Amino acid sequence: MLDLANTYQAAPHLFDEVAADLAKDSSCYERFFSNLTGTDLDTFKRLNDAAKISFLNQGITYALYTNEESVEQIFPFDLIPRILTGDEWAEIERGVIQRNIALNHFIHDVYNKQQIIKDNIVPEYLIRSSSHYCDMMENFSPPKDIYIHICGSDLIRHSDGNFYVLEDNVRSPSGVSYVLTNRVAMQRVLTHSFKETSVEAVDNYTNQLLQSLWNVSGRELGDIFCVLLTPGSYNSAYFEHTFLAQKMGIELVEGRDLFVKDDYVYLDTIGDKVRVDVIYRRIDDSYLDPEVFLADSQLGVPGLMGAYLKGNVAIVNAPGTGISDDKAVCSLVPKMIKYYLDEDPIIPNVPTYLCHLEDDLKYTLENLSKLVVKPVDMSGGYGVCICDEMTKAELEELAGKIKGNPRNFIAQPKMSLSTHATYIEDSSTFEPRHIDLRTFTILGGSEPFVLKGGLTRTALVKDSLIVNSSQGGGSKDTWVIKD
Amino acid sequence: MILARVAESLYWMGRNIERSDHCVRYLKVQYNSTLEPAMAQNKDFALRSILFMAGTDINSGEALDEAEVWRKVLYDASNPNSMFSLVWHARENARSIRNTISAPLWESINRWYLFCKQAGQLGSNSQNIFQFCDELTAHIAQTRATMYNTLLHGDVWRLTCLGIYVERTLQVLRILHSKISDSAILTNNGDNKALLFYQWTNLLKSLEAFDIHNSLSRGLTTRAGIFELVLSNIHFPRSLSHSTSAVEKHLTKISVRPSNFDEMSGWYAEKHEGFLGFSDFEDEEKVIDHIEATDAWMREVHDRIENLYFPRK
Repeated sequence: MLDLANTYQAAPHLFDEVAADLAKDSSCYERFFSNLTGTDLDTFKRLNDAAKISFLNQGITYALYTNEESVEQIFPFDLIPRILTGDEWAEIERGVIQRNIALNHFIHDVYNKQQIIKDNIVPEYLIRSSSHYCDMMENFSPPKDIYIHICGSDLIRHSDGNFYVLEDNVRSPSGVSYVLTNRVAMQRVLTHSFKETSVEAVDNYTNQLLQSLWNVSGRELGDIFCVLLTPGSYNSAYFEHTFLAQKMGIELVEGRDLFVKDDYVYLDTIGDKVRVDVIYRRIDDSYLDPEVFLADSQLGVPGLMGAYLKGNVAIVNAPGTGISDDKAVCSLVPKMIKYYLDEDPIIPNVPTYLCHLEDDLKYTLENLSKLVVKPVDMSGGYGVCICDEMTKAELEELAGKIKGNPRNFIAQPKMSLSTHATYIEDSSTFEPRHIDLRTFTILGGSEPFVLKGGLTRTALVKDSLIVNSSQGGGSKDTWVIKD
Repeated sequence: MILARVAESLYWMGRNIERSDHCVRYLKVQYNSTLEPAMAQNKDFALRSILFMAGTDINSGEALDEAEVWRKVLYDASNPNSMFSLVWHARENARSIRNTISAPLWESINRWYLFCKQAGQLGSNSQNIFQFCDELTAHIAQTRATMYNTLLHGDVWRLTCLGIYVERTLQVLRILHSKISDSAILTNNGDNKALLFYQWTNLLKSLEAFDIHNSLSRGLTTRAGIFELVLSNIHFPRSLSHSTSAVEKHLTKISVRPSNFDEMSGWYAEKHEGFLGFSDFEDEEKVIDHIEATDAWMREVHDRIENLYFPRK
């Protein structure tokens, strides 16, 4: 029989979520593990396999790109949930809402009065040199001044036991569909645990998102036509696009399904044309409209930006929000919080060295082997250099790249992501693996909303700090315990 | 409201599901025939017939390797007409419209694809071909049942059925072509009466019409009787008349009427009336002409459906 409360071996010197909780007088994990007490390892393996087959049959997959082809994979899913107490969650929720409100103020300010630049809080150079800066958004305010309708913030828990923000994803954050499908799988497989534990629901996310889409449409409820714009079935997040469209009851469209006439956007149907009011886009800015961005984009809609700037259609998230996805700009969020909200950040950023600053560049180059270096404009874990794992020659090459284009890099101390008990299929054992947490925040509804729990991503390779699905990471259901 | 792209995927999903069904039935019957004494010495002939039905090119003089033939028609992903490719296409059609079709239908098609993919990875041997075909048939039957029971019987359903019945008509014509061609080859090769008879039996079995034919003809098998059943018995679900009537029914019941719909439906009704009037089942020449004319008509029906609902831009 499984007795994880007594047999799980946490890694020494790291903050282990399970071990730290088990040390408390009232432990959430102890309750969860006690519900598994009647389960032996073979039964657990069977449950694990059943969950995997269920994901595969339902096509709950993502596309993993290799050099030769795109391969559909299930997102590896671990049956041991990450459990957060109500108090822990309340602080995270307040923290990410605070960040999102500040970031939204920032983007509105940057494209309009630019007060934060005039007051020398954020340098203009940083904004103008961002590859995501969108000239067309200057002096334009989207409906209700909402730019970041959906934000995915990546949080880690360091060895000091505190949460830090690694980065915010404000263009097209993905992963929420796995939160919802993971929960369904858990409820099917570990039914008993849900009977014994009061876990916050996650299935209200799509309703909240739909409310936000309706709220920014500018039309009467009942007349509003929303669509989700996908790059198509070969996109790595295509499952998520279909899932969200289906759950919200909105149309899933590709660029070729839309056309613009007289600055209004319409659907290409087999009957009468249908006017579109809100586009929840899951394609990058540069592909949105070939008339103003990449001319050879097959994914976008010619004339879309014209319709948008005339206020005839809402685009969610707004074009140009990517400036705060820039990792150098992201490091300034604590300053934005102070500037716009006059508050101290509830969740601190991971300390960041901006290589375009002389002192930070000097520090980075002198301490390169101890740091983690990231390109400012990449996501999904791509381009991340964990320098203490690199050879001398690789470090020299990296230093050359940084010196060649310092604006393109930031450096951070190597943060020791917390660990969590994870079932390892190959050895049929439960071992500590590093995890992070992606939260999902929605603005534009009646109140800011944060999905209670978010996506816990887990590295499946021992000691690896890379949790991204595109790099072989997996996921866990995240439970927030109702007080 | 249905997007033109979605309409096209629904139509092609229906066509690919139907095509897979016909191919697997034909393959199963042909495979069985290679085990029968009458055909055992003419295995090459049966294998060529399989390749013809599967639309797979092969040089006529080339010696055939049975294992390679089965690999080509069943699992070869690079062959657009292999069973694997047909299932892959059906799944891609379904995948591109996942939020239009029901979740159970998507799951059923996805399971079918995963089964096919896994079987392809395991490879084939003469023992498991029959089992593979049987399991494919079960997957297809489940997909059809799920489609029937979980889709609203509105435009989404009608467009899918339109694809199914256009494809059914074309596939039945293809099987007829194949068997008429086989019988011509055998007739020209001298005394092949047993083999010749076997081809017509196979035709009926390929359409799951053997028992139906026996009960209608009281055991008397004639080409004219077979033609009458397959071409014009409206009560037989795989007859041409049943299929072409179903095309008309679904076409006229789609609620969205593009501007040139009336012209299309009028044209179809007129052609269909002419088709249903055929009764020269005794005259094989006329039957062949009729089959060829029907094939050309149905290909034009496809082009017109495409122009009506999802024109190329």
